[in-house]
Amino acid sequence: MAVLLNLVQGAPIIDIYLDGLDTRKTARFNDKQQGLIRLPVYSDDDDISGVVDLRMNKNKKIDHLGIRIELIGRIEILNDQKQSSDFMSMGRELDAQGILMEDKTYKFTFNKFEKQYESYYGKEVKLRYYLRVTMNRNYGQVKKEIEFAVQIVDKEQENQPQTSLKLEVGIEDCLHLDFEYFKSRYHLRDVVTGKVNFYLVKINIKYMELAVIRKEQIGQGNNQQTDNETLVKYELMDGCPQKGEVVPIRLFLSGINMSPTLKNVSGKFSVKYILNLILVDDEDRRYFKQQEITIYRKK
Amino acid sequence: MEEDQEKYLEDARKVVKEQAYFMRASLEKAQLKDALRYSSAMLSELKTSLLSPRNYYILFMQVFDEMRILENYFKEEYRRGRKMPDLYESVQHATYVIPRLYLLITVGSVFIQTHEIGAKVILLDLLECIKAIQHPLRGLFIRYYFLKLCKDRLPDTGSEYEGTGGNIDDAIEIIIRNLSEMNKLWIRMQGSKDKSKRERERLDLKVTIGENVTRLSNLEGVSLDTYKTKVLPKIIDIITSSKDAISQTYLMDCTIQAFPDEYHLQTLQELLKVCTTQLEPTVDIKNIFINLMGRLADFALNNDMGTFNSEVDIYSMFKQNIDKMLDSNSQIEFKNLLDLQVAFLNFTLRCYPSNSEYVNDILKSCCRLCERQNETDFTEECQKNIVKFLAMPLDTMSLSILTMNEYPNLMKHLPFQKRRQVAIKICQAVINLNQVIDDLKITEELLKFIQPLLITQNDYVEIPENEFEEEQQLVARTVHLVQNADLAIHNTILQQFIARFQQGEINRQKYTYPAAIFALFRLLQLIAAQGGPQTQETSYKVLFEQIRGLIDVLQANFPELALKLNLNFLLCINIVDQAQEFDEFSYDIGTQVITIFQDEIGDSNVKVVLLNQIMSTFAKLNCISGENFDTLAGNATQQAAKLLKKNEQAIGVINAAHMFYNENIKNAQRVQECFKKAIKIANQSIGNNPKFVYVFIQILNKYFYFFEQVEFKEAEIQEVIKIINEKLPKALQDNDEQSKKIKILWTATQELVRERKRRSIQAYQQINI
Repeated sequence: MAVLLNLVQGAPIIDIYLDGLDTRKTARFNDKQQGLIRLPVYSDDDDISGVVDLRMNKNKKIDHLGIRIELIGRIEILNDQKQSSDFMSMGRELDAQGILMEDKTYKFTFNKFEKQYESYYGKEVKLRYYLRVTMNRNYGQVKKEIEFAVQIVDKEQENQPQTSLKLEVGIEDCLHLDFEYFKSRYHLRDVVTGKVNFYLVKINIKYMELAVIRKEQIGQGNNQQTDNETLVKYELMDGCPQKGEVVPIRLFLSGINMSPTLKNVSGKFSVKYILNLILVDDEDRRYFKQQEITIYRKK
Repeated sequence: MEEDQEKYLEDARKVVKEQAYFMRASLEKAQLKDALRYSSAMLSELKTSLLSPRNYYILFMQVFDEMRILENYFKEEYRRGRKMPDLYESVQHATYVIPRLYLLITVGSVFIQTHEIGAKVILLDLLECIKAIQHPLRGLFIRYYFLKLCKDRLPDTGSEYEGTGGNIDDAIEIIIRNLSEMNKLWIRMQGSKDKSKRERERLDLKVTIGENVTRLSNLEGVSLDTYKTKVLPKIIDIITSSKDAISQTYLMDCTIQAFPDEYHLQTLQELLKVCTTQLEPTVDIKNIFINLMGRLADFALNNDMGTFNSEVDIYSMFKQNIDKMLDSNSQIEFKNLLDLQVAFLNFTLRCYPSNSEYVNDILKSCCRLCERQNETDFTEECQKNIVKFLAMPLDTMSLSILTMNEYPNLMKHLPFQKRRQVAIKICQAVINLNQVIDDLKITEELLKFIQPLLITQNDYVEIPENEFEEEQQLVARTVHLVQNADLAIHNTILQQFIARFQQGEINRQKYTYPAAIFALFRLLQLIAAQGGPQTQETSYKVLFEQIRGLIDVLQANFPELALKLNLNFLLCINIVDQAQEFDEFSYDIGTQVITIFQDEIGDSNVKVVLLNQIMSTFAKLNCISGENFDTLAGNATQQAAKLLKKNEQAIGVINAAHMFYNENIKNAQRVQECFKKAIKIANQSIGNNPKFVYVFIQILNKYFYFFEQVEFKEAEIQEVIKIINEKLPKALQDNDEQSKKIKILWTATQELVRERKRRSIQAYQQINI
């Protein structure tokens, strides 16, 4: 037992330092386990490079079976670890089997590593990227991981023509309106604009609000699980309009913690965004209509 | 409910105060984010649905003041380098629409001031966003806030925001849009429940809507032309597109009040057309017209009347439109139409004071209107208006107005009491005009109109005595206005009055006859002054007989009045008949006086007074020959001796002396007889009543009066003095009223004698008192 303790206390320390962090853009994520985190962001053709710093930590010498660094992309299903899996993994050998007698530093680079998916930290699922350094020894490993984020600018979305989303809804003899969002696709700092036309109002509306819902779909087919989370509620109208009134919609997305729309990521999950227009009457009955929008990342 | 309201308000005000405190504290520490959070919490109080409009206003004003602080801070932030577009966006992240928009308007106002963006862009954007507030009360107030903050940020002509910030058209457009939306919200407040309460609440809020119109009128760029082509049509559009009477009424009124009269003059036709054809039937068009006419009349009177008369034919415009209203089978109440007519008449009288044709035309319309009504439509209110209608022209126009043929047509719609009122008003007007009544035709009409005062008509209603007296006195005063240089006409006019008075029964004649009689006296004097009668009708005989006839009528019921009238009659004859041509006639009148006195007057006090008048009147007469006069004067003296009290008898008799010695007659003997008789009567009483010395002192004084004309026996006078000296101490013993009177009279008498002696008047040297 004493030996074991000694071993643990004396384990060598591995640190990973990424290059150019002072100039690299960072992004904030709300991770379920870690809370609010801030990660460096890699996109396009970015390389990821840095140094691995290995310190002896009072050990005189260290026998090891090899030191590796891996870049891993992983999808984690929070409620079902069995479903979690790596969608990518790249490795580099930093040091072959041998004996270390002193602190040592290794440089590493992953040139233009593949950035297939956006980092995503959701409620039930996350897609994360991290670097992992492993020193294998006879009696166990010494590991170090650091997370970073990948963001993908979707140039295709940007260039596609916009269509407006228009929908006519109503309850016979009671309520008749149409609403229109001028665009169907929005970048993350975009503004949702549109209008609501009231044609018939026989109920006593108290207010109207717009909610942004994030829909996480995990798995496929019969096993698919869906989680809806309301990210924001935004009051659009106070009071009851008369027929003929046109109430504007204007919602700034920049204040909302969103990701781009993610579709069938690695066959594991999707993230969709939905605008939910809700009318509440004076008896707190809610009348709503949902409309999916596409969110993308813009340069 | 009311208590709840107070509590709700108090609670809300407390929260506002608290949050405002935190907001300011944050601003002092330059923590904008916190300040916005607190201001948001403060503004959230305006989300309430619990407060009445009045209380909401109080809360609003409290918040408004706090927001000024925030606005100033935004300005400072800008100077410190804060990017306004960022701030403009970031306040829009607020979850709730009320705080969000109040903040947005506040930032927007500062944003405009930076000139980094066109005023028009921001203002239009704000207007668009405000559409989110569909709740009537909250919507009205946020738009009111918009107006207040943006009033100096409009791209008005000559403003610093004109140019890239837009132009006057944009400024107009912005306010008009706000006005239109506010008007809709205001109308929506009406709802369906609790109508009158809602209406009251709505009226409490009207100034917030009116603020838009005020803003429009304050715009430098709104010239007459702009007003005509761009502003007014849009306002009219808003007014007519709503079907709400309260809104229409208020906005019309507001427009009239806010813009210069000159503009109204140039757009009168449009305004009137809207009023008469496009408003809801329950709109009080009358009031709108009254305001409009009032203002235009003021304008006309304060400015060049020339413009008023030539450039635009205001009268005709009003006339046409009002007539259109009358003739369209609209649902406007009769009462309101009448009110309108009255206002129009008033306007016309003010602006066209000499145009009686206009007046008659209006009367015509009014008649037409009245003809169409059922009898039951003539409510008290309506009758009052008709009364006004008939009386008003008289205040400013000449009497000739009475000859307008429409006058009687209107009058016939009124019941007795109202006709009587009109009659009174007419009389008053005639008197106030202070013009002579010199025209036969006018007299004829006048008498027709005041007939309710002159005869007992079919629907006569008994009137309280004092009112009756007042009205009859008005009639009496009217008669005195009769005059014409041609005395024959003068007489004819007077006779017209008298003819009516004769139908008026004794209770009216009591007032009208004396007036007529005095009018005849005056006529007689005028005739005499012109050298005597020119026509048969104006001969003294005819007129004298007429007067006698009139007095005779009164005699049975009002003997005292008849007596006095006869005395005046005598004085009148005395002026016109110096030649004693009517000696016998005058004598008869004199006899009549004595007869009435003797037979009809009972009250002894009245008798004393009347007899004095009789004797003083007789003393002035020269129209009765000597013999006849002696008889009359003797009779009067006898009446004196028949008075009730001895002192009255003695003094009466001594006063009779004046009838025998005056300008016309010098009969010393009769004077001496009067003295003797008076002393004799006085002597009978002095024995048991020393206070009778008063009478003796009066007799003594009367001696002094006649001293220089009539010769008296020295002894007689000394005897009187002796009695006085003897009785005086006793008479003055008591310190009562009578003694005081005696003392005063005696002192005065002594003073008189002393003074005369000083002037060395011979007769007084023997008098020692």
